[in-house]
Amino acid sequence: MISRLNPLHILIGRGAGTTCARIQALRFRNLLENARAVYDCLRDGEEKLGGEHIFDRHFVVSLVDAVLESLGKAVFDACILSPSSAELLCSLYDRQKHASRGLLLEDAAARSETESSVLRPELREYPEFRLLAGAVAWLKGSGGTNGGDALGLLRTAIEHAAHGLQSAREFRVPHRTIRLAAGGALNLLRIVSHGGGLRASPGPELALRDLRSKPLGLMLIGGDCRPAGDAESGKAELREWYALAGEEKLDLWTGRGAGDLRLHASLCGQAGADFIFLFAGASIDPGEFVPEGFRMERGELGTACWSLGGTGGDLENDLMRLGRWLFRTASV
Amino acid sequence: MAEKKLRIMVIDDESIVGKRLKPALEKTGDTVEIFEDGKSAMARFDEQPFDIVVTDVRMDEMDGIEVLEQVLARSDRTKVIIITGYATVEVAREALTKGAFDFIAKPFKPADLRAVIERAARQLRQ
Repeated sequence: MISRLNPLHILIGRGAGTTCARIQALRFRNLLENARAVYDCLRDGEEKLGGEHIFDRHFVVSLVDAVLESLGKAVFDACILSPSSAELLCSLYDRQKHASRGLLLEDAAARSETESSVLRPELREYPEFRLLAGAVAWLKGSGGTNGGDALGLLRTAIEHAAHGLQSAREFRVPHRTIRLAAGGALNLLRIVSHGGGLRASPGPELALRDLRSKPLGLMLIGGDCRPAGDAESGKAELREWYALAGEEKLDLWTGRGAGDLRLHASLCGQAGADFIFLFAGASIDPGEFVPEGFRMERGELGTACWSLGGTGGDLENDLMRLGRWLFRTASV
Repeated sequence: MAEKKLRIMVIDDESIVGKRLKPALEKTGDTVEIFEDGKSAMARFDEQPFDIVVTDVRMDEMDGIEVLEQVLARSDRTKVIIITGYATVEVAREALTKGAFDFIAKPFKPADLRAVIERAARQLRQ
C-alpha cells in the first residue's frame, strides 16, 4: 500500500544513452501500434459477426492476414527489445501462423458448435459467418484452436518487450546513497519526499527543473511534489520508486517486486514517437487510475495499458493524472 | 402517385452476398434477381432489362468490369453499381471511367447500398 510519494530514486540519462533510449522508445511504440492494429482487427471481426454487414470469404482471409502481419511485426519488435525472448516468441508466432492456416483450410461445416454459437441462428447456415466466428475465436483463444490464441501471444510479446526495455538499463541502487555512474553518462540521484516535500539527499535542494526530464517533471507536478521541506523518512509506510529519466523519456518502476508496476513514457514531441505504457502486476487493478482513452489488456501476469496520444498535450495531461495517482492518492 | 418499382439484378460469385442482399433489397417492394456469374446474368438481361445492376468485380469467366461494359452496351439507362472486397483506387477509377454509377467496398451494410440505389432511382426518374 502506498499513501504518499515516498522515496524516489532517479536515474537521469543524458548524452550517449539518449539516442539509444530514443530508438528503443520508437521500437516499443511500433510494437504498441501493431498491437493496436491487432485489437482493431478483433473489433472489426466481432462487429461483422453481428450480421449487419455484407461480406464474403475474402474479408475473413484478409482479416486473418492482417492480424498475422501486425502480430509478426509486434513479435519482431519484442525480439529486438528482448533478445533473450526471441526464440520463444518466434516459435509461438510460428504456431499462430500454422493455426491460422489450419483455420482457413478447415471445412467450415466441421467447425465446433462453440464457435458458431456466438452467431444468430439465421447466420449459422453461412460458411463465411462460421469461418469468421472461427477466426475471432482463434484471435481471442475461445475456440480451442490448436496452437493457442493470437492475443495471448501479443500479450506475451508486450510483457517481454516491456521487461526488456527495463532490464536493458537495470541497475542496483545502494539504499540511501547518491551515485554518479562511471563516465558521467548517467547521474543517479536519490530523492526523498515526505508530505509533499521533495529534496535531494544529501546535497543541495533539487528543483524540478533540475531533473531535466519533462515526463517525470509532469508526473511530479501532478503528484504535487515540490522541492521543499525536510524529509522525515520512516514515519509513513514507504514505497520506493525508481526512475530512469531522460529529457523526453521516462522509465519508472516500483522498488517493491519486479513485476509490480512499470511505466514507460516518451514525450519528444515528434509525430508518431510519443507514448505512455504502463504495466501493472496481477494484484493491481489499473482501471482505478488509468486515464480515459488508454487501451487496457489483461493477461495472466498483469494488465498492459497504453496510450499513443492524440496530441502531445493529451499525453502530458495523462502523465500528470498518473502522477497524482501513483505519487499521492493511489493505494496501488 | 406510387413510385414505379425497380428491377434490380445482383451478380456475385459468393452466394452469401446475393442470398443476404435479396431479402434486404426486397423490403421496399422492388424486384430482385440474383446471379452467381456474369454469363447467366447477361442472358437474363437479354430477356428482360433491369433498372439497376449490382455486380462484384472479381469473378471467373466474366468479371464485373466486363459485366459493366456489356450492360451499358445493351441499355445506357441502366445504372451499374460495383461492389468489391478488393477495393483499390485503380479499380474504382476504372469502374467509374467506364460508366459505373457508384462503387462500394465490402464489407458494407445493406443500408449503404440502398442509399446508392435510391440515388440511382432518382436519376432514372428524371
